[in-house]
Amino acid sequence: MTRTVLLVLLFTSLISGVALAQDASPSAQEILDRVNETWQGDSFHGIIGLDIILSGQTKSHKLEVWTLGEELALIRILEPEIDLNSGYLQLGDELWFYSPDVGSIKLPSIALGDAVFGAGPSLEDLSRGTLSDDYDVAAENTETGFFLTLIPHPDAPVVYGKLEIWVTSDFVMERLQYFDQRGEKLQTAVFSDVIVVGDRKFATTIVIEDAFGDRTIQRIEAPQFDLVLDAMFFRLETFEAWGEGS
Amino acid sequence: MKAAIRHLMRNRRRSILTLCAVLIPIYFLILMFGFTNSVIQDMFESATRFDTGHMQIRAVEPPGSGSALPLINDPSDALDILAEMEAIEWFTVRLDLPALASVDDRTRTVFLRGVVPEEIDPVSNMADRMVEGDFLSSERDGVIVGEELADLLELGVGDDMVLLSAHPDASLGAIRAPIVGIFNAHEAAIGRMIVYSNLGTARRLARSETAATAIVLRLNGVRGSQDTHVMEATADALRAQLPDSYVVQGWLELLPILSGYLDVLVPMLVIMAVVFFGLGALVVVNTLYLSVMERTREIGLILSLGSSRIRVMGMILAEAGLITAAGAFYGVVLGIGIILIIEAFGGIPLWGQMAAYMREMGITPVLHMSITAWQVLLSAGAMSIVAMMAAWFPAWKASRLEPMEAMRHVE
Amino acid sequence: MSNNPLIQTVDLKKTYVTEALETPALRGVNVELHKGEFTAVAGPSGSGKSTLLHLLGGLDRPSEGDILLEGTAMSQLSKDQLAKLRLTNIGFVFQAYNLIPVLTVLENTAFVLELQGVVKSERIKRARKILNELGIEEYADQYPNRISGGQQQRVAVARAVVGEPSIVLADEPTANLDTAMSMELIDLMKRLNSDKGATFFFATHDSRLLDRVNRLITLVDGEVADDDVRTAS
Repeated sequence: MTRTVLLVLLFTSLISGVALAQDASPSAQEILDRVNETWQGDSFHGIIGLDIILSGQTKSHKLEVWTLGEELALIRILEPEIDLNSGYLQLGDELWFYSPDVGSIKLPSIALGDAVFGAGPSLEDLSRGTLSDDYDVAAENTETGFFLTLIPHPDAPVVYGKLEIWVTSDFVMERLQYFDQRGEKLQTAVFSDVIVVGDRKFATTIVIEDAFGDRTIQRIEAPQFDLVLDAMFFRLETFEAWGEGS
Repeated sequence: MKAAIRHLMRNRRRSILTLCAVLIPIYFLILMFGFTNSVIQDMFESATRFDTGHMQIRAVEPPGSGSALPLINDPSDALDILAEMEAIEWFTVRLDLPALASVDDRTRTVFLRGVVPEEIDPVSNMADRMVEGDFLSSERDGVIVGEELADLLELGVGDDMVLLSAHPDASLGAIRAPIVGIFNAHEAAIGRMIVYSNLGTARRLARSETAATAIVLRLNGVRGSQDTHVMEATADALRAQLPDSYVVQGWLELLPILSGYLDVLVPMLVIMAVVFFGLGALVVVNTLYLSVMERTREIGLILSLGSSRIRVMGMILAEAGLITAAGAFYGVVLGIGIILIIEAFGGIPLWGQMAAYMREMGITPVLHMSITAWQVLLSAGAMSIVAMMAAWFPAWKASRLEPMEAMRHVE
Repeated sequence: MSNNPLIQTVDLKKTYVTEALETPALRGVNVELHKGEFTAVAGPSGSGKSTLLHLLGGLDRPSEGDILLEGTAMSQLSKDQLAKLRLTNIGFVFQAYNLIPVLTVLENTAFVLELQGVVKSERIKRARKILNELGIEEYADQYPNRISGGQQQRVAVARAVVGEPSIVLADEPTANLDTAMSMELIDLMKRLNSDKGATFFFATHDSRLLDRVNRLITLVDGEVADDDVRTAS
C-alpha cells in the first residue's frame, strides 16, 4: 500500500465521521461533534496535492478524491503521469486498487495492517477511522479554543496509546498528536490555511511529521462539500472508463 | 613416578574410576564439539550457498524505515569495485520487493525476489526443486511460485498473476506476469511467501531499470564459519572502497535467528562442559582423598624420614597427573574414534521431529561430526587442568599430616 | 667417645593437653648423648620414653625446654627445617610399619638417599652394600609383604644407617619380633655400633636389648630416675 493512499484515507477517515466514546463527558463529546460537523460533509470532492518527504527526498502526487457518506470513497491518481488513472476504491470494508496496466486487485485485510505510510498511520487504522468508537474523550479549555484528549478503551484494537487534538474556538482542528502505547510521540498533524467553504471553515493544508523527521504535506484544492454524487460512480468500471479514455 | 604408578596399580578399581572421571567429560565434550561443528557447518552452507551468500552489500537503511529493504537505485558503482577484487569468487544482484499477489479476487502478501537466473543456478538448488513447469530465464518474463502459494491462490503453470508493489520507494508499481513454474520449498513458510522472478521482471514492478536491494557475494578461500577472519578482512576492504551509502553485512548478521541460535549454542556447551567437568572433578577429589586416607601411616612414615611437605604433595599430584594424562589420552582417542567411525558410515540419519526441525533450520537431517585439533586440545586441556586443581586439595591435606599422628593412624 | 654431646636436652618437658585434662609426659629431662653410644631409655608404660624419642627426633615439639643436636637448638627450627634435620642427621627404626609397601627392599633402603638427593647409581650402590652387610641383599627385589617381620626390621635398620646419620633412634624395634628375630636384630645393631661407630638410642622395655646396651637411662613418671653407664655384653 502507498503512502499516497494512506494519507488520503487519513483524510477520508477524518471526514467520514467520528464515533464517540460511550462514557465521555457531555461537553467534551459536544466539542468533538462540532469538530466533526465542521470537518465533514455528507459528500466531498477535491484535488489533493501530496508531497512525501523521506530521508530528504521528495515525491509528489496529485489525487482527485470523492467520498459519499462513510462507506464510499474513490481516489483517482492524476500525477505523476506514470500513475495516471490508477487509484483506490473503498466500498464499505472492501478496498480495491486499480491500475490501467493490470486491472483491479482486491487488497487483503492483512495489507491494511502494514505500516507502509512512511510518515503516517497504518492503512488499517485509517480505513477504520482514527477517531472511532474506541476512544474515551476529555476536553479542557485553552486560550484559543479547546484541547481534547482521546484514550483508547483497554480492549480496543487500536495501535495508539493516546491522541491529543487542539481545536479553535470555532471547532477547526489546529493540531493532532499521535502517541504509542508507551506514551512515545509517533507523529503530529498540523492544520493550516483555513478557508471558508459555504458555512464551514476548512483547513486546506495538513502537514504530518513523524519522530524521524519524515513529513507528508497535503494541500487540498477547491474542496466541495455536500454535493450530489451518484453511488454508482463508486465502482471499478469508473476506473476502467478512465483507462480506456486515456 | 615409579611409586606413583605402583600406588595406582594397588587399587585398580579406584584408579579406573578416577580415570573415567577424567575420560568421560573429555569424550563427551569432543562429541558435542563434533556435533555442533557439523550443525554450524550445515547451517553455514545452507545459508550461504545462495540465500545470504558469505556477505551482502545493501543500501544504508534510513531511520524509521519499515521491513522493506531500502532500494539501491543503481548498484553499478559497487559492481565495478567488486569486479576488481580478487577475494570475490562470485557475486550477483538481487531485488527483493514486498508485494501483493493477486489472482482473480484472491490476494496474498508475498515477497518478490528478482534474481539473475543464470548466475544463481550454479550455487542455488532452486532449479532442482521445480515440481512443475520450468525454472526462470532472463530471456522470458514470468514468475515461479511455491506449491503452497499455488494452492492458496488456486493457480497453475500458465496462469497470470498480478503483483502490486508494497515497497515504499516503488509505490503503485503493478505488473501482470505468467506463472512459468511451481517449486517445492521444503519449508511451508517459504512456499507461501516467496515468488521468484528474473531481475528484469522485478525491476518492472519497481519501475526502475537499475534498482536492486542487495548484491550477494561469495568469497574465495571460505570453507566454513571458521573462516570468519577471511570474511571480515574482505568486508573491511569493501567498506573502505564503497561509498557511504552502502553497508556490508556478513552472513550471521543477515540471519539473526541463526545468530541467536549460535549465541545460545556456545553457552549451552559451556554449561554442559562445566557440569561434566565439575562432576569429574568431584570424583577425582573423592578418590584421591580416599587414597590419601588409606596411606596416612605411609605418609606419616615418609614425613618422619625427613621428606619435605612439598615432596609429599608432589607425590600425590604425580599420581593425579598420571591418571589425568591417561584419562585425557583415552578420552581423546575414544572421542575421535567415535567421530571417525560415524563419518566412515556416512553420518547418522535423523528422523521424526528432529529431522523436520533441522530442515526448518536449513540443515540436512543427517548427523555428521567433525572436530578441530584446537577443540580436542581444549577439551583435554581444560579437563586436565580441572582434574589437577581437584587433586590439589587431597595433596595439600596429605602434606599437612603430622608425622607421629599419621603413623599412629588406625584404618 | 667424644666429650661434646651429640644431643643434649635442657630441662625438657612435654605435656599433652586435651579438652579434659593435661597429661605431663616429661617433667624436665636433662640428658646428653654422645657419639658412638649404644643407649636405651627404659621405664614402665607411660614413663615418657617414646615421648623422649620423638622429641629427640624432631617429630614433636617440647612444651618447655630445648634439644640441641650437634649444637643446633631444635626449638629455633621450623617444621621444614626439622624435617631436613631428620633427613640428614637422624635415622629412624619404628616398632612397626617401617617400610613403604610399593617400594622393594632395595628401594626402601635407598629411599632416604633419594630424599637426600643422592644420584641413582650411587644410592643403589650404597643400598646394596648395606643390605649385603646386613645379610639381606638376596631380598633386594622383594616387596615388604613378601618378607618376614624380622627381615623387614633389618631393612628398616639398613635404611636408618645408609644415610650415615649422626644418630639412629629406634622405638621399640623388637616389640613385634620373636626371640630369635629379636636377637638377630640386636646383634645386627650392635655390630653396626661397634664396627661402624653408629650411635643408637632406643626406647624399649625389651630386656634382651637392655642387656646389650652400654648405657641405660631409666625414666619414671617423666623424670630421669637413673642414668647408668655400664659395660654391655
